[in-house]
Amino acid sequence: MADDADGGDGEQLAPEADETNEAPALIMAKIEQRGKDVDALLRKQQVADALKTALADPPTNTRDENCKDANYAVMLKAIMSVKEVDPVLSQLSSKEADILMKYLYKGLASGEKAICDQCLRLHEKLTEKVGVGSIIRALGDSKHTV
Amino acid sequence: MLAVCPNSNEVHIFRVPPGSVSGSELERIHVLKNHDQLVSGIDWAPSSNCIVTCSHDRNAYVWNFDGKEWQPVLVILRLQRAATSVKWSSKENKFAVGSGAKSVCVCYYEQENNWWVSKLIRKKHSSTVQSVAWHPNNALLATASTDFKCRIFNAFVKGVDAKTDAVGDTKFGDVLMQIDSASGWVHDVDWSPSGEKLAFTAHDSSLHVIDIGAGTPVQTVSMKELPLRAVLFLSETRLVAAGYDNVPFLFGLNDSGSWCLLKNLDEPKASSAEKSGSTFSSAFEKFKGQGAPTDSLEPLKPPATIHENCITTLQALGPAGYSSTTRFSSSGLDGKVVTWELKGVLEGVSGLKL
Amino acid sequence: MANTLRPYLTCIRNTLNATLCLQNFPCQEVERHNKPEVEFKTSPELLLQPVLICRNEGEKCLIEGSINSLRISIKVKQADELENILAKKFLRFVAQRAESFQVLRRKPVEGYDISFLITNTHTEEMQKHKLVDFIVRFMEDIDKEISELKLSVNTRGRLVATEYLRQFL
Repeated sequence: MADDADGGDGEQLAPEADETNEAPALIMAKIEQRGKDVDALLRKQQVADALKTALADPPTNTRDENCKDANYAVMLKAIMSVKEVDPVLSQLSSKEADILMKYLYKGLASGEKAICDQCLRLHEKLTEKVGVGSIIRALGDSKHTV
Repeated sequence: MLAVCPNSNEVHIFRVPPGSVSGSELERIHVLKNHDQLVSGIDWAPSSNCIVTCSHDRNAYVWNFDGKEWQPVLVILRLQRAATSVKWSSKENKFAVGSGAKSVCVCYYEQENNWWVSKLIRKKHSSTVQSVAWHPNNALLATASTDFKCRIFNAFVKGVDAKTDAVGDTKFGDVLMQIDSASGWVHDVDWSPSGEKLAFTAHDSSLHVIDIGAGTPVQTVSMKELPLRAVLFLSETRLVAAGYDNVPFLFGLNDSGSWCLLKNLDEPKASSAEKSGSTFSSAFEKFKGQGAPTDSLEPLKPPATIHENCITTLQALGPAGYSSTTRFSSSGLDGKVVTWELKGVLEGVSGLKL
Repeated sequence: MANTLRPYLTCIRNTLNATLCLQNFPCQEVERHNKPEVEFKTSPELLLQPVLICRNEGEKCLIEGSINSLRISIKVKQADELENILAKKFLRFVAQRAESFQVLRRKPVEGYDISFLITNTHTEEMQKHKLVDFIVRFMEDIDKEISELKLSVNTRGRLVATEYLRQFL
C-alpha cells in the first residue's frame, strides 16, 4: 500500500499547484463529461470502473462550490450503485481510497437515510482496508476539500 | 544517566545504579525545578555535559554540573509565548528553541555577562514551531511547524561560528528551503547522520524523506496507522518513527531507492491475527460480531504494546556523531522509557518503569 | 433498525480513534495559557475539518477535532413528544453531574442534545481505547435507557388510569 503512494505523491505535487487558477467553467465541463462516462459505465454494470472514474481528478483545488457540488453528485451516483463492497474497494489505489473517504464523510453529513446507510457500510469496509490513517488524512486536509 | 520530565514543571535525573545489569531499576539523583510550567523540551549535550531545558513558561535554562549539583544559567529568550522544543547544535556552542510565538530562537553564550543570549528567526512561520533539528554542519536548522510545513534555515551566527561553517551568501534567518508536501501538522524533523537526508513526520499519518544531497523530490510514505509524533535516523538507510500507535516503526530505503515501512518493532510474537494493535483487533471483533446476532460492539481490546500511551520522543543511544546506531530509546506519555536494540531483525527490549 | 446501529457506531468509533491523537499544546494567542483549541477556534490551522456523521435525519453526531482537544456532540433519536421530553430530562440530569464524568461538557453544542469535550490531559491520564469505548457505550445505552423510560412511563400511566377509572365502575 505504502509503495504505490510513494511515487504518486511526489509527481502530483507540481501539477496540482498549477491547477488552482483553472476557470470553474473548464472544471465544470470536465465534471459533466465525467458524469456521462460514469453513467455509461454504470449502465454496463461496471461499478468498480465507474467509481474509479468518478474518483479521478477531483476538484480539490478550486474554491468554487458549484464545481464541488457537481462532482459530489457524480460521486454519489457511483457510491450509491455499489452493491458488493469488497470487490469494488479492493480495486482502489490508496490515493483513490483517501479521496473516497472524503466523499464518504460528505455523504454522511447529508442526513438522508439511504445515503447515510450506504456511506456507513462503505466507511466500515474502507477503514478495514486502508486503516485509520486514511480517516485522519480526510479530516486533517483543509486545503484540498471535496 | 537519564533526564526525564514527568509531565510537570520538574526535570528528574536518574542514574542506573552500579551493578545493575538490566537497567530496570533506577535511582533518582537530581530534581531540577526552576520552571513554573510544563517542561516541554530537554536536551543533554554529550561532550560539554550541559542540559538545556525549555518550558511553556517561556523560559529556558542551561544547567551545568558543578560536581554536586546542577546549576541553572539563565537564557534570555525574549519570547512572548511558550517554548515547545530545544536542541543543541552539533558543536554544542548554540542551541535552538522552537516556540508558540511562531519563531525560533538561536541561542549562544555571552562570556562577559554569563548568560545565553538569543537571536530570533521571526515572521517565517505562520504557526507554532513544534520541533527543531540541527544539521551536523552546525549552521543549518530544520524546523517543523503546525502550519503544515517543514523549513530549513540558515542559523549561522557571526562571531560564534567559524567562517568555514558559513552557508553560501545567505544571511542568518533566511529560509533555504520550504517543504510543503504534508497536509497535516508537522510533528518532528530529523537529519540523517551525514546531513544529506531530512525526514519529517506529519499529522496526516505520513513520513516524508528528502534527499538534499541528491536533489531528488520529497518522498512521502502514507501509512495506514495513526500519525507519528517522533522520527529518528539510525543510519543513512534506516530510520525509526513512533507516535499515537504506541509502537516504533522501522523504515528503510529499499533497493529501488524509495523509503518504505519495514517493520513494526513491537509486534506481539504470539499470534499474527492480533498484530498492530487497534486496527486488527477491531477487525477481529467485527468478525466475531457477525456470528452473534447482536448490535452492540465489543469493547476494544487494550493494545498489547509495551508503551500504553503515545510515544513522544525518540533518542539515539551511542557515541556522539555516530554514523549508524542500533540502539535507541523511546519515551511516552505512559511514563515509560524503553530502550530498544536492533540485532538484525530481533530486538532486545528492556523496559524502565517510572 | 438495529442492524444500522452497528455500522453507525463503528464509523463513530473509527473516526474517534483517528481524531483522538491529541498533544499538549500551548496557546499561540495568549501567553502562558493552554486551552482547548476546539472551543476557542483562534487559529484555524490547528483545527481538523469537523465531521457530521448521520444515521438519519434525527440521529447525528458531530465530531470536531483540534490539536489538543476534541468535541463530540450527539443528537439522540426522538421519535415522538414523549421521547423528546425524556431525552431532554435525562440528558439534563447527566449534564448536571458533568464533573463526575470528566469528559462531559456542561452545555451541549447548539442543536445537539449532549456534548463531550476531551482534552489532551484526558488522553494522557486515561487509556485512549477506554475513552472511545466509553463514548460508544454511552451512545448505545442512551437509546436503550430512553426506550426503557418510555416503557415505564407508559406502564405507570396505564396503572394510574386503571386505578383512577376503577372508582367509576
